[in-house]
Amino acid sequence: MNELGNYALILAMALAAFAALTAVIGVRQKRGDLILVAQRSVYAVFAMVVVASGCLIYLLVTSDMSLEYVASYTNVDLPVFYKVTAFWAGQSGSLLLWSLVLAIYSFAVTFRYRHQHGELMPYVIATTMVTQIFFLALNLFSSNPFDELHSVHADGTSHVFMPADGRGLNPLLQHPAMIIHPPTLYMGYVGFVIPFAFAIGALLSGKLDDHWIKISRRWTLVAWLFQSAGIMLGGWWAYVELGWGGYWAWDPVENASLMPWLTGTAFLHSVMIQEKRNMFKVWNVTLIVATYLLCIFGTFLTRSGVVSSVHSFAQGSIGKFFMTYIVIALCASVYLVIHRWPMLKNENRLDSAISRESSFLFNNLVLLISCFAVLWGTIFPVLSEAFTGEKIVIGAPFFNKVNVPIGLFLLFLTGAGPLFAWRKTSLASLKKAFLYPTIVALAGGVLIFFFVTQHFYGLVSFILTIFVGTVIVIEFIKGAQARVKANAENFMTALKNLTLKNKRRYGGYIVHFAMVIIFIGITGTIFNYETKFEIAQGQTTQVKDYTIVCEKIGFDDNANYQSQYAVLNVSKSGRFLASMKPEFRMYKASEQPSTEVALQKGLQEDLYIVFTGLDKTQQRAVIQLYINPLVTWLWIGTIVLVAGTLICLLPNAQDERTEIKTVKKETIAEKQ
Amino acid sequence: MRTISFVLLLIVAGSLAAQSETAHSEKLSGKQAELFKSVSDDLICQCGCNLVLTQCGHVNCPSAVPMREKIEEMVLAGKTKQEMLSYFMNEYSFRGKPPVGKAILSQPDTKGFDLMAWLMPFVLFVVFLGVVVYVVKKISGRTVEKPVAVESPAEMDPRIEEELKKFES
Repeated sequence: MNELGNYALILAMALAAFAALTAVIGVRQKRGDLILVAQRSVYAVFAMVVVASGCLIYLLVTSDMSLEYVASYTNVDLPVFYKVTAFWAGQSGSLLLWSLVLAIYSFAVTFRYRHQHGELMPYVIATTMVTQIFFLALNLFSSNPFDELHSVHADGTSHVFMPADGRGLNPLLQHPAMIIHPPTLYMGYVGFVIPFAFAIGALLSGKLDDHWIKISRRWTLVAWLFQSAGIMLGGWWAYVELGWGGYWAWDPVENASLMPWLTGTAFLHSVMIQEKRNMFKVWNVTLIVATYLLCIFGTFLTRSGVVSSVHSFAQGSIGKFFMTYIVIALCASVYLVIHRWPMLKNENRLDSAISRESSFLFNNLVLLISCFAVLWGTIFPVLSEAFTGEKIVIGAPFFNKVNVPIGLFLLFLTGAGPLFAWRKTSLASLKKAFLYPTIVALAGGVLIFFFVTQHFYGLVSFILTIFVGTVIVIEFIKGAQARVKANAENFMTALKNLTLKNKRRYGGYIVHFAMVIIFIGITGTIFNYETKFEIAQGQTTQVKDYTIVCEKIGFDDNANYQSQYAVLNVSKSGRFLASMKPEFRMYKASEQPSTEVALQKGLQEDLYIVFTGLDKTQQRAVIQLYINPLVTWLWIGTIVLVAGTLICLLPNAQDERTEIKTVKKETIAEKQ
Repeated sequence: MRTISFVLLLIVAGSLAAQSETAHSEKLSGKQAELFKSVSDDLICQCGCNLVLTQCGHVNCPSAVPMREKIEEMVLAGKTKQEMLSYFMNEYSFRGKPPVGKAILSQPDTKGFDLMAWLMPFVLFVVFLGVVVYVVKKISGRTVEKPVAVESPAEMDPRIEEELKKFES
């Protein structure tokens, strides 16, 4: 089976090269037959990568310990569920996941536009296939999941070696979130390849109007949606699994996922200027190129070990491959932009500095600075060592100090941006638009100052969330009221119709509202409380409003792990809340310990309990307890963000009409 | 036999882990606890995870456990934050290795080359802001919009119109 997997990878790489070549020759020589061959080769690449992935999953599930990858990341008694997720537990499997996700995207985009965008699509195919070749080459030549374990005998001969059992999966990865977090994040990372491919297609074909942006907008949104959800799922996993009570540690790998998200967000905003005003073409191309490179760079950071991280796998020479590819991709993109410079000039002028266009530019500036600050902090230890010879580490306090003010400013722009009109906004209308949200926010701020917190950033954050929330609510109310007047609809129907008639705008507002909710969740950290105590069976302890009774301290055993646990009955202000069971586990195959957090979620606060083991007398459980206010709002905000983005993704009737026209026109043109 | 040895391992690991808390113990008062947290935030765990001491959740972490114990001990002894940080930079030894100096701190220094870490984001902000202002000024001015050519229904292909009607019906 491993041979089949290997052959499938080799074939996939050859087919990807063939697809790229035939696509480019086809479009240059205007040969439809070659383009058709290229399209079918993309489908074949997809099939081959699926076969290779299927082989790896089969080998993992059947515990073929002759494979280095299987033996390194699974053991016989590991639940099947986690044997499958071990697919992306190590370096080579993760790289195969990249290829698989890219194969899915390439297949989808090629099939979707098989009869459309004839001048653009061959270049899109070529670009996606070049990326595919790179990742398949990494799998084949640097980090192959189908490599067998070998033992070298005394006579110098090498034989396949099959251990009785594997080393097991890292306990931290044995969590339901690990099923969904890595694939979701990869759907984001890899998804940005598609708009990048369209941008390269536009540069190569010279079709540099807003056509490529209109086609790739949904693909960008899909990638952005997955990237956002992947980041938040990673936060959720860290929160419920790592046991330190937080969800974001500014680890280099977390940073790597945030950077393309920031540039991708900037791109999603700035493309609107090109669509509306045919301006900032160079800027949009630059942003999507940066996003693509940051996606590759993120994978490089994760896999090269250049920056130490709890996530990274510092193995082999993979870093050199990545750096070479990044440099080539950067140079090629810069060359294309310079080559097409005359065609990338603005077709319109900016009517006023006080306009939606300017506010988007400003939003882009802040997003890019935030991205740079994250990048700078992530790579600075490497630079410092190179220049001074001294090793330093940059941790969360640096990132918080630099990014918190930037983040708050971005939050302000989230609310202020929609108050500016396209082309020109008069100061009088701006004053009017700002008036109510500012009054409400300041009034809320006064109440928060006297009754909730005087923490500076906390206060500013709450004031801004009120400001932005008010702006968005007013936008919905104004729009709905207009519909009530014009169409005699009731308010709720008007609200629904308002959103559905202009999904992009109001879906966007919902996403902005989600950011408000997420910021509320983040701001909750200023109220965090933590303590540690020891408790024996039958004892009671009081922590703030919580009364904790230790009902039992027990022991458990199964094929995968043994555990010690405590059953704690928790009441809050005299009312029974929950029976919580934090665990301390020792995994058998890996002989690694792990804690399983007991979590009682609430809209107001989370009660987060970690059983860290027994004290020296073996009679008392040692408990770490965290009270984390408002964290739940982070996850609620994520759900709202997903909902808002899905609304943006729904097609408008106008889009459907335009597409039918395009298809028909192209079909007629082909026939003629 | 394997099960018994594993139970022993679990008990030993559990006992060790019990001391690997990320939070301080009950011995510390409110202000002492704040100081403990503040110092823990400023130090990097030396086990290789490269996380801030507060964030290292490794069970039985060979670095985080003794570091936290030492901080607690120093807080109870009335040491100041600077004294504690200075101790970890210049005297603290992990697994017999020499002290790592400022590599144990979670934030770059505010002098020498490390100052660049703090300054660059703000320098770049100013530079970018200058560029944006320059670009906005350069491309500002009244736009003379080209009239948009509207395709009259007669010019459109009748087959498209038919298809549209079908779609809209």
